[in-house]
Amino acid sequence: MTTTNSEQILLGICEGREDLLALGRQFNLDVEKSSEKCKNNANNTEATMAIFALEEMGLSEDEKIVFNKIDELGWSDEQATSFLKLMGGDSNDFDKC
Amino acid sequence: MTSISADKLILARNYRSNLNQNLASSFNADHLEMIHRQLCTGLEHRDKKLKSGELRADRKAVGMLSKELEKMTPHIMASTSEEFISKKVAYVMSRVENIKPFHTLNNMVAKLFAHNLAQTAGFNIEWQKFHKDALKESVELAKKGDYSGLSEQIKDKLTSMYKPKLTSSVGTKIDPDFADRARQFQSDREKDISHNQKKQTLQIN
Repeated sequence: MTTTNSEQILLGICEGREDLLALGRQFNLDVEKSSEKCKNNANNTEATMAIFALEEMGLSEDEKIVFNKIDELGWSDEQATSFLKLMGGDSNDFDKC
Repeated sequence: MTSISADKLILARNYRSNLNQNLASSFNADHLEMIHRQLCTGLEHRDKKLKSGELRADRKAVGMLSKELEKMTPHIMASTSEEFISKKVAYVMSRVENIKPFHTLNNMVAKLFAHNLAQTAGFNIEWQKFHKDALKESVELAKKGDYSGLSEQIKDKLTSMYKPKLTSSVGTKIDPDFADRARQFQSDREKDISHNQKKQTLQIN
């Protein structure tokens, strides 16, 4: 994926939040430098989505979009977690845990 | 995208990472605790509720399950019988859901544990093929000791992790005419056998 594509994906996820953009750009640079993207198994993604739905914690369409976009960026789990922590957003779903 | 829960996405990523990990030589209480802790990674700000890796259930109950698992796992690993594997996986999954070892995420841990257990025998469970209500119903029955329904459902959803693709069969790898030549060879061989049999019959007469 080109740098432009990664930037486009990031802009789509961040919705203008400068703090998220800065962190995301840093991670995109890291990926570019290492020239090694983390790849995720599509079957496992499908299984995860299914189990979450079975447990009534299914991801919304918007959440699925962000989930898949982060995959496209090829960040590591640690990078994705840091980014998502910064993103925040509350959910009542955790009451069902 | 205001409706997004980043924490749920973190949990989902953690979950996915664990679907093809945790393949241990023995499945026990430590293994369960490790799964729970790994699911809670990055969600420390919710630890008041999630209580990462902390047992809720009586340690004795978890210990008993642990002992059962340590005996059972080698048999599952050595088995190729889908029926046997699904029975054991159904039993373990419902036991974990019944005991509820942790304060949170018990059903998710149970399914992940069941998935990892099936993987040690070389199978994946296709969760997307389950019907939510049917699964719930059979898990409830399994908790009361009737594992047959859950076991049947799991058996239907097991897929081999190592199934070779038909497109990469030996025949297609050798050359595209391999199948034709194999047929020709077989036909020639049958003709030879038939010819020899006739010859033998004539000699006897």
